[in-house]
Amino acid sequence: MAIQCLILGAGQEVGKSCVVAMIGGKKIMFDCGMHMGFSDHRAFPDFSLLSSSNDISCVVITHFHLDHIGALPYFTEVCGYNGPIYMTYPTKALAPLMLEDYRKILVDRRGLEEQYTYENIIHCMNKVIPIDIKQTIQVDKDLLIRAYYAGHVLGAAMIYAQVGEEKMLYTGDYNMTPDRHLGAAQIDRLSLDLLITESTYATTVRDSKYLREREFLKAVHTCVAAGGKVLIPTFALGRAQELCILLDDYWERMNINVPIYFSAGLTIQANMYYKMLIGWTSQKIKDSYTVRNPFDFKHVCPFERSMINLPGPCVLFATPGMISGGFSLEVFKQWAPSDKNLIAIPGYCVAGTIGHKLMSGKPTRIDLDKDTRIDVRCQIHQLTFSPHTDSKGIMDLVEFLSPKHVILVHGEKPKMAALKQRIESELGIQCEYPANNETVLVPTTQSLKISASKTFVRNCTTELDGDERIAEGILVMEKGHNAKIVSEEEFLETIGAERNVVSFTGWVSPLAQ
Amino acid sequence: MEEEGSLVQPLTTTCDPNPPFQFDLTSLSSAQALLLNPSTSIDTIHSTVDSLLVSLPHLSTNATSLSLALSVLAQSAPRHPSLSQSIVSSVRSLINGQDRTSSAVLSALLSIATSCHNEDGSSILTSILDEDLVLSLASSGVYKIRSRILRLLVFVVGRWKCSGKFLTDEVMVRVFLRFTGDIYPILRRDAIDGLCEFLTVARDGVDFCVPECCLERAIGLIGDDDEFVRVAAVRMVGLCGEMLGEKENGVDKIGQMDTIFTQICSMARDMSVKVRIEAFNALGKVKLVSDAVLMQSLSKKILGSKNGGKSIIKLDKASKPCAAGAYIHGIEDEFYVVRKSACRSLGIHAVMSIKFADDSINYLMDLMNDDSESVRLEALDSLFRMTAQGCLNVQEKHMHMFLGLLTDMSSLVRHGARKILQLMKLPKLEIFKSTVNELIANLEKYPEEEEGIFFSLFSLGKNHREFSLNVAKDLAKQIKRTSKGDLTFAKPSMAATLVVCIASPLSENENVPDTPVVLFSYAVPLLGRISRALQGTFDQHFLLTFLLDHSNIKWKSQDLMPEIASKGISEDLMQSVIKFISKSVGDAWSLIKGSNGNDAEKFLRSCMKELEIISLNASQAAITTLDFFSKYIQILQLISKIQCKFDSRNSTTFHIKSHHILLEKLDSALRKIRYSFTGWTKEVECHILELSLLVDVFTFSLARIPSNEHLKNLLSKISHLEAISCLSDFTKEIKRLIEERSSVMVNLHSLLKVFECSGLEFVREMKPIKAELKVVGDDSENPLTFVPGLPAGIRLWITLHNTSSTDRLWLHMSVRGRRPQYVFLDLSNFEGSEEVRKCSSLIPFYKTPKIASFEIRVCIVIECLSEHYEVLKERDGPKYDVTELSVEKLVYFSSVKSR
Repeated sequence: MAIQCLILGAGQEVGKSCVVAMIGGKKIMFDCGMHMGFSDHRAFPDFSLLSSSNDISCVVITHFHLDHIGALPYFTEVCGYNGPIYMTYPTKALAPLMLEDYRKILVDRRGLEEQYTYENIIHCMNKVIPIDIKQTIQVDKDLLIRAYYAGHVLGAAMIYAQVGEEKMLYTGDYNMTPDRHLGAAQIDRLSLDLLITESTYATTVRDSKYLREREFLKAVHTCVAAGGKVLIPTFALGRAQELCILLDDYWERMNINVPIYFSAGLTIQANMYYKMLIGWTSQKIKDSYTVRNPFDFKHVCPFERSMINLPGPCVLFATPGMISGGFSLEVFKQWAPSDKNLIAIPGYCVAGTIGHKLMSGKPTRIDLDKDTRIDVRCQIHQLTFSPHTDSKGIMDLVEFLSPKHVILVHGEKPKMAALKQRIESELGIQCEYPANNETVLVPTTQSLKISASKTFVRNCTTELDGDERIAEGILVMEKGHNAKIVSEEEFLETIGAERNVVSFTGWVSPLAQ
Repeated sequence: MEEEGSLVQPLTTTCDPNPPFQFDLTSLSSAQALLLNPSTSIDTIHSTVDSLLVSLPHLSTNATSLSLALSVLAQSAPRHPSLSQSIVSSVRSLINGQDRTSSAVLSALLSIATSCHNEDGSSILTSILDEDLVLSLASSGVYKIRSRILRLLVFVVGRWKCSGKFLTDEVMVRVFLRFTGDIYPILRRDAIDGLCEFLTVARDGVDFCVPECCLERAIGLIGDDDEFVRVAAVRMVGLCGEMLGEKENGVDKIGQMDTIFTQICSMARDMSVKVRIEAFNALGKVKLVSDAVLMQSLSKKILGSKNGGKSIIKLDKASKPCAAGAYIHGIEDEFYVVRKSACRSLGIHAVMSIKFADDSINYLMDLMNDDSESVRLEALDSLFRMTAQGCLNVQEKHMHMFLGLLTDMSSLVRHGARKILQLMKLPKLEIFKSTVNELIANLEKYPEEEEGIFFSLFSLGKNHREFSLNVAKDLAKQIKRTSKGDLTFAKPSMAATLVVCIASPLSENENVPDTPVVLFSYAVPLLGRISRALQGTFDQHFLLTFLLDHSNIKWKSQDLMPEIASKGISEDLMQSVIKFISKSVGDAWSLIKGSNGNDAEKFLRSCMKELEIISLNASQAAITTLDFFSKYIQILQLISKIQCKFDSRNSTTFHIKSHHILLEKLDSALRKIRYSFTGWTKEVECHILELSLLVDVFTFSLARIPSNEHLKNLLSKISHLEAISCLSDFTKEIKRLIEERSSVMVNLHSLLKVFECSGLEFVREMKPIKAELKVVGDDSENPLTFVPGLPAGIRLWITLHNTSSTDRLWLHMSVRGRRPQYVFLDLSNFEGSEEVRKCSSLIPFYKTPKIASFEIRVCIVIECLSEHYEVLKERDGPKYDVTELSVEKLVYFSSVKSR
């Protein structure tokens, strides 16, 4: 028996995660993402490789990022998949927001043709069956799936699937170190045949998060203490909450009275979801929830556009991240010329955005367009927070689970090669990193029920040799009968043979040497 | 007991063995009820137990009844320890019976043994168990039997030392080791627990190979599928590591410890919180780990240097990667309990290896930013231990985070941070200064922690001689620059800086010549606060001598013999301190005159505080003087307040009423100071009189149209002053104004300007006029009785101090909401001299109210004869104003009826 894995996306690349695994005759699709770098047919996985979209038993989505869910409405509404779709409650709540947001940008801003409509999204989401962490769902008679907590983002899950004796785990994106608002990935010891894991940071070993936090807090504190303003351009979900919890905590402890603002829009809506989905956050937040909801930030004040130029220090979280336009750009224009102010950029910025320019060497001026030029005199602080696990975390998870086989997805080819090398040499586990549209066959072990004869069992209990129990028997497998283990005497009896003893005697000559 | 009899009857008959009473389930439960009932008689219990025991062999065919009977017996054993032995000896024969029987017997034995006192329990077991029996039970195929014998063994092993042994150590260990391979996880866990117990109990007496053997097995089990087994296994690895570290043996110890350490490190990434907590606890136990491995545990990246040690246990994986970043994971853990445990064990290792300490300080400092307070406290504790051992090497980058702790919300954290600062060695002057500033910020934000902060500042100054000298010079320059009367030194920051400056000269007598003299004299008024902070290090007397010695204040050093000093501060010394304070008080006048009301008030308040502290240690005579000063300062405070009001009345709304209240307070305060002391010097008396003139001036200017009464009063005071001494400028000015009939109000400011604060330096040899009252036989629990409407008597013990025969004293009695009643105290009825007069008398209270109970406030007042005459409405009361001499006492009454 074997598990057959068809990598439809995220094979040796980051983007459009999609793996179809055939396990025990059941086909499961893990994630159904899109590639943000393309706007043509390459954006979606090549669904034509599937013989029929409806021979798939179920689709399981790990989290709401577009590279994991972006192609789902297309697959269900355009390709016509009709089976069950599973995702966690937070993913189900947040996914339509993300999908609709992206669809709007695609159609309204870039003027591209839409692949699916708003109605498609709604219709698709209606088919979703929500699952909870550690909830086991019997998809059909043979197939069961279970979700495990993955960290990464609100509602992210690792998916365990089992058909009969064959077991596999698809991790999706996960984080092995907790942050301020999400916990670390958590899993049981499962004897797996196959582990499909992400490998975004296949070779990076990240340092302690405390160092990053300390530097960030120091930069922000020094800036506001000197009366400066701090701009933190971030995406609405995840990083904004993480940093805000960090600041809110610090403000509370240090008795700082500088206001923290959230630019309106998605962030406030996102905070609302976080408040509702407390059960999916880290232990600390769950603990303090009994006293107060940690997402009811104490020091966060309502913000209005007119407040940008008010005198006095403040901290502002503005969307979008990377300062690619919108409100964060507007604020940046106003604040960048003062050397008292600080721009803190959390995480990765795509080339071409202002965020990227700020991170790659300190520019003194930025030409926005022909007529607009911004003098940049403010300080710039770069934060390297990432919700993905590092290579140490991947190795730890693989070591903990000790599966028989590992497949790497969601990473860059050369780094995946290095990680494969490590997994094979250090842990002795077979590992592969197939490219897109490749199929991998993973052999699985099969266990067989055998019965034992009474004599054999009796022999087992009596033949004790110190601490070790060694029993000898003969396995008899006959066509049409169950396999059976019998003792030597019984075996002789059944085949009607007699015991013959051949003895040898050897001589050793004292002069042999 | 009658109901009991009916039940006992059939049972006692069963004592006859032929034929024994057949217990069915019903009779078993009634036997149980009898045995558990605390009022059952001993005889009944004995006979019940006997009949149960007799019938046991007959019950063995019916397993349910037998196990019930056994459990009934087991339950009764703890209540009646005397029966335990007989129960145990009769169940002995059943132990080898059927599976169900023996498991029931074992569980009965276990509950009997656990309920006994230490030694009894295990000696009972020793009496019936032997090696063969244990071995045969332990290898039984039945889970229940195995689990119970294992639990019995775990129980026995805990009391191994104090009981006879039915197994040799070796067999015991072998049995446990065998159980660690059991198919049931719970038995594996119990077996490991048993081994741990064995190792702890037998600690030194155990052969070297035992912990090694246990270690090997435990390492095999740390990968167990069951969470609890892993927890137990990790604990055992830690324990074995600890024991092997202590034992002297021929093996390469560092290598062995490294292996153990890395093995435990590999569990730091376990998915179970319990395992992780246990792993970090265990890491703290393993000592003598090589630096290379320790450093590896702080870095997720694999470090280059080679691990030198050889391990005695073959590892299937390279040991280095296991250890990689274990502590980093620990302190980043999601659960604060794990972080706390990691932090503790990090601290333990940091104390032992300097190299490791240098690296781990980064992480410990970072933990100051943790969201859980208990983790921060644990980190502080680790840092403190490192500081105490001298292995804390702070760098500039840490200071921002660390000093932030001084203004932390939690007082425990602030305290912890200060504790570390007391021992810390700071590398740079800038860091030293910012530390001092941060401590001052701490003081300004949380003034209630002054003592602790001063002590930290003191230790800081003591440990950094050069730096504190530098600060001292800066401060001296600052003092020179400020003009007289600018009372910046009343600020807490000044006091704090002074403490830093005097620390090193004080503790080591170093820096003395270099430290500017002016600082010592500025520190004198802070004596009380400083000495309170340094309690246990220096006594107040030493401190004062030291400060006075090095300051430019003149005083007689021969008065200060150390022997006297220990008994309290000498009078002369006190006088010189008081003189210093009185000078400072004089400075406050300049503030009041200069309309610096707020500064003056702040300053006066701090003076008051000083006085309070000093008076704690002062002699009786000094207390009188101090009391005078505190009363005097109260007056100044009131004057300052009034002055402020007068200044502001042109600009803002003017509340005459509040002025009157303040003036009234001032007037009564002055009266009090005049009539509470005797033995004035001429100068002081003049000064006090002038002050009362000042009050009149205020009243005058407020009234706008002064009455003749007022004028007469004023003139009489002036003439009184004239009689005592020559007039001051102030009095002359008033006299002139009155004679010219011009408005005093207009000249209030010019009047104030000429007012001089003089005469205070002559304050000495005053005696307090005071009275003590004691009510005989009354308190709130046992009130005096009265008949409503009829007079009631109160028996009082009165003691008067320093009253002259011309004084007119009254007993003032008042019931809330009613007019007071005065009773004249005839001094001729008192015994004793002028200094102390005593008298006991029965004073009548006439107007008892018609209620069930009430309370009277009683106090002794003195009539202020020199004050202006005022007709009081009471016919039988004092004709002049009065002021209190004693503390108010409450006398409780309850009506006769209500009793």
